[in-house]
Amino acid sequence: MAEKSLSIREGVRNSALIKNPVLFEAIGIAPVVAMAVSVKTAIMLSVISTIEFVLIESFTCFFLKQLKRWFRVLVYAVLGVLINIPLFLFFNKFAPNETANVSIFLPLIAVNSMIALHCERIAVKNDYRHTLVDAVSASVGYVFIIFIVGTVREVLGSGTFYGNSLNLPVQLSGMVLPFGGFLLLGFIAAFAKKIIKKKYPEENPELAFNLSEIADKGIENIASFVLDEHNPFEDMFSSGELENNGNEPFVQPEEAPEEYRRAKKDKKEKVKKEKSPRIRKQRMSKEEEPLREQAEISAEKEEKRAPARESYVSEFDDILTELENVKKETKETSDGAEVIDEIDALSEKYSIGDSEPEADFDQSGEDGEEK
Amino acid sequence: MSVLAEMLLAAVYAMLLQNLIFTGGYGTSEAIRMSAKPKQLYAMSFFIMLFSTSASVICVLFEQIGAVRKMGIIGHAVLFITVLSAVYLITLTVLVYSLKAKKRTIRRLGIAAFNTLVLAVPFINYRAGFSIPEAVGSGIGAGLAFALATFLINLGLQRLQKSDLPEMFKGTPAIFIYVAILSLGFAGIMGK
Repeated sequence: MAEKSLSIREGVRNSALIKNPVLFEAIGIAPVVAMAVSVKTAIMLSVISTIEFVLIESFTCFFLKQLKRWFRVLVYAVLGVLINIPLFLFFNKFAPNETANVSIFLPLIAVNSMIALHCERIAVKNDYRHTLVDAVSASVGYVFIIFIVGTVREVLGSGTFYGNSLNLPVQLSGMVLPFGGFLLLGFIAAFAKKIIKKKYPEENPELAFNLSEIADKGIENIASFVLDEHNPFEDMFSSGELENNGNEPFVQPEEAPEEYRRAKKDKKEKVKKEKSPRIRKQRMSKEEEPLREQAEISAEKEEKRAPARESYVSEFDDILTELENVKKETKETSDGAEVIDEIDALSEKYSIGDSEPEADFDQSGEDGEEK
Repeated sequence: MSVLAEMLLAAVYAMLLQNLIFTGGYGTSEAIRMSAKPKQLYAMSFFIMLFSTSASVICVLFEQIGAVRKMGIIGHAVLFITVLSAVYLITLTVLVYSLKAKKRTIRRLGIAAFNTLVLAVPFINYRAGFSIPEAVGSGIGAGLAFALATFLINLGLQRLQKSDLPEMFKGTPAIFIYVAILSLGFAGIMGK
């Protein structure tokens, strides 16, 4: 009930300063940053906005309370465009150049988010008096900002005031662009906040714009790609090497800042997750590769060794035949008997003669050469 | 092939080169407020894309009629809002009766349909004399521009909240200045 007995003065104080919809709720910004570039356009925007606020809120309070919300939103937009028609014609008659400059923006005021918001918040829930107070006070707050922004942008951006040159030595033409509007809104909001803190310390304008859900997920997965900090110490930590010329203290991994360790851990987990079965398969094939290479090398060696082996065999045969010849020659002499016995003993000991040398090579395999 | 190229070019232009939110200021309130509560960003961006594309194409089709072409800005405004309302009602009907959409989605639908960004797209097409493929591209680009802007603002908000700002700049003042810097960057791409 206390809210219902809100006076115009309190309403204006709230809407213009403490709960200014543009400055602290970020509503209805588009017309301000796009259209309020001079005093003349600010006047046009102010007149249209005020009339639209009052008429649409009143209409909503009288006729739209029974309708569903989804349909009311449509009605606000259509009503806005219809109210714009006579206003547009009026301005077109008295200020054709300015109207032509902002022609595209005028119809867009019809879908100003501030109208829908105030109608839904106030007009559909309260009586006409309260609705009217809200419409007037919201308009005053909006117009207040539009005038400040329009005037400052015209003076700084165009070097004029109401079309009259001020002969300023510096002209900041960027101020007439939307970025100039945003920048100005930021500083005006900061200034207004300081005044509120000083004059009304019990009020907190920050509450008007709820920032408690900004990290509410849905967007987080994409955001993490951008927000992941680059860790300049990561490579040093993982390799255990750090070039230190002695001037700077050596940073041990456990002494590293918490955020770096956390980032490193996150990255490791991310990498672990990203390892797909395909990558694992590739890695396994990489591990098997040295073995395969070794087998190929040994096969090549075998091929190279084959002719050498044949020459050894023939050489060995020659030696054996020579030995046989020596045996026969010594048998013919009497004192050669002892020598023959020694040769036989040696042949038995080293398995020469009946044994097959090729079989030895075949069985030896890789180690045969060493033997 | 040239149709596809025209469409893509218009989409890229509306999204990156002339991001309608940062360089035009359209739909800024919705983008800032959505970036503070990004839970339904994808749904919102999709609906904005749907409304801007369909309204844009239908309006360009109407432009083929001689009588419509002769209408002034007010006549076009009435036409555009009528088309947008029709698209909104059709989408709402489909969502409610066929897809059994949640109440929250329906509530957001009004904001997605009736905002300065969606209504600005047919006006831009009308002024630039876009063809149908270009109108499709600019509609899609508007939705993507909204998603990109919201995403960038959200990243900034997350960092601004953690940073040690002067008391008077905390909250919306810092957000506006951050958006101003982004806007300056996009204006720089255009070489304005």
